[in-house]
Amino acid sequence: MEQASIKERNNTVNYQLSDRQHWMSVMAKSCCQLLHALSDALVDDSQFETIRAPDIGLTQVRARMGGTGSPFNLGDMTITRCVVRSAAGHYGYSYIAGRDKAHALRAAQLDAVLQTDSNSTLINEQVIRPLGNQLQHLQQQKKAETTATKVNFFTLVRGED
Amino acid sequence: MNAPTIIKGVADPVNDNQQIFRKLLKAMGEPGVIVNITSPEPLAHLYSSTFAICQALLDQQTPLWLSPELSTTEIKHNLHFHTGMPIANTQNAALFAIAYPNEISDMGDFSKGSSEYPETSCTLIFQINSLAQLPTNETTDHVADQHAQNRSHHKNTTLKLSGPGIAQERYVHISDMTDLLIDYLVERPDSFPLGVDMIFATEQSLVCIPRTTHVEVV
Repeated sequence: MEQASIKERNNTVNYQLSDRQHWMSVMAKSCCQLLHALSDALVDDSQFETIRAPDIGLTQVRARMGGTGSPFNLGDMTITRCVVRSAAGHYGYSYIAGRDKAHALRAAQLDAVLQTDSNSTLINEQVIRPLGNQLQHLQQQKKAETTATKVNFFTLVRGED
Repeated sequence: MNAPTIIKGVADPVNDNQQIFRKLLKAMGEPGVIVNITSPEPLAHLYSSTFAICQALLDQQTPLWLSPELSTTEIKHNLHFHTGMPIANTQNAALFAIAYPNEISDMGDFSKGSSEYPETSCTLIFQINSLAQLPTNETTDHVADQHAQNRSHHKNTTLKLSGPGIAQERYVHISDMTDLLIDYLVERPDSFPLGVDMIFATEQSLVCIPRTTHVEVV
């Protein structure tokens, strides 16, 4: 049922599911100041109705050891969610990391606009791509820092036999 | 897009829901007092007041039963979106129920709680057309007058309420009452502390009749 409705909607709007997953993910993890700096000129607040005002909640993060083990509860994290409706009638959703309501609101607005608006290519180029690049940069930096302190343990002689 | 339309919830979830809750508390604590409650947008069949009540009271732990007329995809989708409540398939499993009065055929279907946990009873929300509180000092003449008028459109009922939260008595005029509901309210077949609590809601206002209230038809 859920699958079917997503498929049908895909036919009427000009984006692929994976594209939307990408931009939602980028906006959820990126820095709020940069998101605002990049998008302030492109988004008009008055064009949106707030369906679900931004609210802050807690979610449990689960993970698998080494990515393959059985799942365990890693811990809780704060998320902020928001839903808006654009003038064109599209619903923009956001679930962002942290407690910044303005961030959640802007991410939801952009999600709505990115779905069909004629500006979507422009926004993709001017907002999503730079945000994605910055995110990637930060991730690589972090990875480099972590790799530098990596320690490997070897067992040379085992006690038994 | 064939997904159901999602309507706006309250503008400021925390503050607005607390205010709605406070008003409901007043209405429940002082039966017969009419309070005004609204939500930004109504939905076909679901009053703005009912939607506001739902947003303030329902969550993942409160199964809701919807009467056949209210069981539309749109209503279910919106209520679930804004509150996260599960749908109860049977009346008995529900902690809250929304219906038009004429859709209820047996009050025994609803959970009345147990002696150990009387708070697990169902709270019934009835959607009605009109509601009015009659001043207590306008005594029998006025009420008799009303009653005479009521006979013509026999659905309107004036109830005399007394009991906890009411200094002497209050008169409230509720439309669309059915014999079944009146019998239940007057007879009170479930002995205290068991029984259901009722909320009668019009588009923008409501009145509560909890299980403690003594009801007489005037």
